[in-house]
Amino acid sequence: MMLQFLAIKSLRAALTMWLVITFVFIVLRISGDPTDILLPDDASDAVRDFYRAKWGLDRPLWDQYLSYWSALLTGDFGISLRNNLPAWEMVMDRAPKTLLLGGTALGFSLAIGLPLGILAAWWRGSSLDRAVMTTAVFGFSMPNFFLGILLILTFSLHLRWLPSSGSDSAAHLILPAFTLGTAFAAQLARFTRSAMIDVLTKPYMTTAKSKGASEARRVFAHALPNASVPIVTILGLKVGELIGGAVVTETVFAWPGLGRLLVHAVAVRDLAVVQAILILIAATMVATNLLVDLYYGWADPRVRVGRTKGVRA
Amino acid sequence: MSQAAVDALMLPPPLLAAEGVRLGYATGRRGWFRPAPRFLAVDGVSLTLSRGETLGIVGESGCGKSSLARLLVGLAAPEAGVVRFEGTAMPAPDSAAWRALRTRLQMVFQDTGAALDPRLTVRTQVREPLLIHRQPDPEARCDEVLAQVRLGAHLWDRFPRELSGGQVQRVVIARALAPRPDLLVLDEPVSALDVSIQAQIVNLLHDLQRDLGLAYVFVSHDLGVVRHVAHRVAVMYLGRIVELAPKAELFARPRHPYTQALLASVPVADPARRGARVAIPGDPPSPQHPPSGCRFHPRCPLAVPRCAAEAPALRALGATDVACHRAGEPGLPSLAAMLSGPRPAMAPMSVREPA
Repeated sequence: MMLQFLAIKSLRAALTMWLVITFVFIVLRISGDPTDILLPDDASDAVRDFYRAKWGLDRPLWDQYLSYWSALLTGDFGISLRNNLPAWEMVMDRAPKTLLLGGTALGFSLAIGLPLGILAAWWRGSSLDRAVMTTAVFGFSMPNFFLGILLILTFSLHLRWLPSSGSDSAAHLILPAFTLGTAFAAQLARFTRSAMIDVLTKPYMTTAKSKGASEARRVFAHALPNASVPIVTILGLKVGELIGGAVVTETVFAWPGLGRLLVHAVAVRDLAVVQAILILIAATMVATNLLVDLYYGWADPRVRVGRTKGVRA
Repeated sequence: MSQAAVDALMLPPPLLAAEGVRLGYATGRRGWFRPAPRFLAVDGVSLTLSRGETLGIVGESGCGKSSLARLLVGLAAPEAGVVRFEGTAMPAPDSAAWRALRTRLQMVFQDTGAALDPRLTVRTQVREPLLIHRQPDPEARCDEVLAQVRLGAHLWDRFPRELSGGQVQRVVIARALAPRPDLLVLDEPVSALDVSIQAQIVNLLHDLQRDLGLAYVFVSHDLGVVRHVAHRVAVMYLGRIVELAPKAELFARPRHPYTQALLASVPVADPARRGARVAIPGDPPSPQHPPSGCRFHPRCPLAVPRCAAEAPALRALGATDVACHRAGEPGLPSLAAMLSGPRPAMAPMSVREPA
């Protein structure tokens, strides 16, 4: 049963990856000619044709697609048109920095948002609840570039405590991770609160109370596991966003991550690099969602396939 | 010291006693210059329950019977009055003493399907109170109690969603029984079930009481079920007990006009008596604005001016306690007879909207 569940999910993941790769490939090829941007304006047609032939852009689309796939299957993501390095190498050069920033931001959001959401839900209607929710609105309404610049002004320029750009030390990580994590911490707090309130008002929570279960036991053994399904769902969606969507934050703090590389590669139509980054982001999303699906199966027995046999009601 | 006082000292206290308990809810937001509007769901209720006894509590929806159940089991703290378990006042909810008391009195909730954690198997849920209260050999006790409620062993490792309504109800009862309580407060325990399953559960509750000496508080709007299970019956109307009597007495000689009307409105499976079935005219008034005096007086054909002015207290009338100024007057007509009689009898039944 578990194998069947895994097989179905993996098959779906593979299908998603194929769709993403194909879609990105086609859109990138039909949306413009890289030679227009990469070559000087006054380059002759002969030069353009030479480069088109060199990069294989003169061949029919299906032919390019097939050779792209055959290269991909051997682990070859193509060569950057811009600086002739293997695209995969360029991406892998940046990926650790992005993972570091995204992971720290995610950890920060979880450490702040989850407990605050739980506390706000448990004491809903209290002044603590109102304070948390007001702060949360403030937290996620503030654009990243604004918060980033505000932090730089305060902690780098004024107080001179932390560096404003680069990625050389742990101190460099603090401001960008805080900037990136604040909005998500706020969303997570609100999300956790509503998911928890939904569960806390269920009759089985009264049952748990009347069993004599302590408040901690009620929250951590009954409420949180039941509320975790929507929370984990949004976490799964957010991980992909933290990997690929940190462009603004990376730009403000000059953080050498994937987001900045992606924007740059799109601007100069560096096909192989764009494609490699998008494949990486898609793979991350697909993998996280696979994990989320597995989590559903563990957290919520109703999702488990094959256990539906013999259901009576 | 009088003999009665000496007796009172010698007698063991009742298992459960409520003394003038009140419970209210806010029905809106607090304003700047006024407190939040409230209504009293339970307004000065007193009752006692002995070991091994079943007290039925009946009334229309919204009469406060579920709130009373929550008070009796200690899930809500009364804002006035006191609930005593074996003579000791109920500790504040969620205190250590309150939690320890959970092994003595347990509650079975109205919506049983939702009363079980959907993520946990039957066995896990039934075992939990035993683990919380560190009772010896939880595994064996869990199996024992699941067998006691006659739930097939093949269902013990299922999840609640995989069980039928009657099976879930058995699990809920097993869960309540696991820590060996002396008292179960059952809030509409069979209302959501098919009639055939109702009978099974009622018989199960009956057998459990016989075998374990349990006391029940059985809250229901279904007089037929209450008649089957209860030793004594309390009739509630808008947060107050209007009549409290031994079952046989209540069904044979209902004293309060409301009880009479309630009994007369029950469908009778006897064609010869079918004509006697009547409905109480009017809706129960809004509990936010209860009528003055006797709360039933706007709907009562027997009402006299005194009923609107003065709230009747419960007083003994034979084996019955009744809160009605006119109950027991010689020659007083039965309300059921008046309601089912010729048309003109309906005329005085005006339903006044309370101010």
